[in-house]
Amino acid sequence: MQLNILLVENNTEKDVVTQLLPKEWQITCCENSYDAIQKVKKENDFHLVILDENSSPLNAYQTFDYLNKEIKADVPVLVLGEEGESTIVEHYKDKLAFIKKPIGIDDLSIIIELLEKNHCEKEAVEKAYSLDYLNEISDSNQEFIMETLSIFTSSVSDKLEQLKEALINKDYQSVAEIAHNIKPSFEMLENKTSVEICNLLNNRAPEEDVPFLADNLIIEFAKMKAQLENDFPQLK
Amino acid sequence: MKKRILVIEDNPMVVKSLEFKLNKDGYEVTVAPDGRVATEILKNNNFDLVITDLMLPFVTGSQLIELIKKETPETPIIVLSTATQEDIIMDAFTMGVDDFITKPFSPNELSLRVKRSLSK
Repeated sequence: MQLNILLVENNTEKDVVTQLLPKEWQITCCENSYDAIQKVKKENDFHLVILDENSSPLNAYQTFDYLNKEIKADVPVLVLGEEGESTIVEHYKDKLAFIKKPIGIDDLSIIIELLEKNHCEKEAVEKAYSLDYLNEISDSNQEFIMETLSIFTSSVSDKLEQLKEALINKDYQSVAEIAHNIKPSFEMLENKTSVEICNLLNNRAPEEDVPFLADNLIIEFAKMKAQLENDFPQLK
Repeated sequence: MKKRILVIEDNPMVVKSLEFKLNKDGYEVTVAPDGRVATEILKNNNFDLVITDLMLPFVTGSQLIELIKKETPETPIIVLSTATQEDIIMDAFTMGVDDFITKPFSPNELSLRVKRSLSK
């Protein structure tokens, strides 16, 4: 999925955000919220604007307001910060999301959810997971299913953090081992894309392909997590 | 008296599923998340069956199989594997394991294979 992201550079999480987002996403940087407004006004092809809640001259919420009400850009905004204006975020939840800093892999599901709400209607309808296997194994025991889903989101998230670390260190043996370890988790929730990626990573894909595959695995997991948390809010 | 099964597996979702299904089938289940913990548990306990993954942190499944075969050769062992591990499964069989189950396991197949290994 080719997406254009506008990132306001004065946010302190810039490097983390850039590293977290998939490499195939086009990231455009600008200096402040005024520049962001000008860019959106001029190009108007951004799928998401990311900025710090304390950006200047307009803060994140004022920028969101301006983009959507004044110039009617119809672009979702992701706010990074410490506190977050929960009332505003709740009110505009289809267009506005907040992530508490520091941003991590777990937060990618919030970004995916916001993008799906705004740009990827088709993909949002397609289920990234199935509970058939868990139902079969437990005779549809709801307590077991909820506990297992909770284990899925937390354990795979931890492993993907380790995978990112291993990638930074070019430790491809660990990447393969992590992929081997988490593959059954994706199999149990019947996400074929992730299973195939794990197979490739586990079977020594060419080193130059590994970062791309890892990015896609992280994105697929984020999609699953976003859908699971949407379907089962108690998982949040 | 309930039969005792030791499950050695480092994927928590697989562990949860095995534990659930085996408890439901009436077995007493002990879990070891890695080879080191399994070694400690095996020092002080006897089990009617061991179900083990092969790729484990610290002490590998193969090393554990060797240990079990040396200390309690009569304990049956079922290996947990993934579909892409044919060579490793073959090695495990030459070491004397009784059976293998592919992850994620089919619940009926698990029940059947566990029952069969315990009745040997």
